[in-house]
Amino acid sequence: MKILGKKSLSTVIKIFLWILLTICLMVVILGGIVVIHDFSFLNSSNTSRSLIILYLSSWPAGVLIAQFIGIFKSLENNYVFDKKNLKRLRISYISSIIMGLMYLINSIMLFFSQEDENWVIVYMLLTYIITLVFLIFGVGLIVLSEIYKKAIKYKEENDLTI
Amino acid sequence: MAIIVNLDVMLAKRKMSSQELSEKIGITPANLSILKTNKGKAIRFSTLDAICKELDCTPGDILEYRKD
Repeated sequence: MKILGKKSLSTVIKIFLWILLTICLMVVILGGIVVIHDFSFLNSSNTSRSLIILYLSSWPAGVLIAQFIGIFKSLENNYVFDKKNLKRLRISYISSIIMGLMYLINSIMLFFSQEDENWVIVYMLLTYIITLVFLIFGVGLIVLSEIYKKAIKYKEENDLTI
Repeated sequence: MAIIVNLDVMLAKRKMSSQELSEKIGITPANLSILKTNKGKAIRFSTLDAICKELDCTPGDILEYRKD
């Protein structure tokens, strides 16, 4: 299956990424408006804390998706081994790890909460999974960015070999 | 870098322009300029061979080692 070029998945991927970015921005804007207008729901309960974490995680998520859009655009324009992309990958792994840490804090707080309702336990397990996914993704991106850094170095060397 | 490319000196000795040399050895003027200005990271044996052939010299005439 082709990812780039004519009759490829590129259009679908682009639309998908833009939809995700729009959702993130909507969460950021609407969530901000709700918080500004009504503080009453912000209390120490698990639900409100989880909602806050969910809201806060939409910021790094938006940044992460914006970076992916940038990387994809450069891939389409054939500027693959560019230092800008390395920077984008670095921002991506930082965003991913921040999201993972946010969910980790939430899951730790859920673990120590006194509530033992079924949904809390299920939600806590899901939060652990999300934490792991983002942390593993972040570490994966760190490895990828290091590979990318070396690839750029080799490309530059190759370009300067006459 | 400690390796200096003295291509411009050899070109002056042979009274040849960079453009002419690049056409004769089949590399772009931009690449020859990279070589001349010591911005290159490496030089292929094939390129060195072609330069030496055209300028009638040895690699030692083109490349020089200077301690940093």
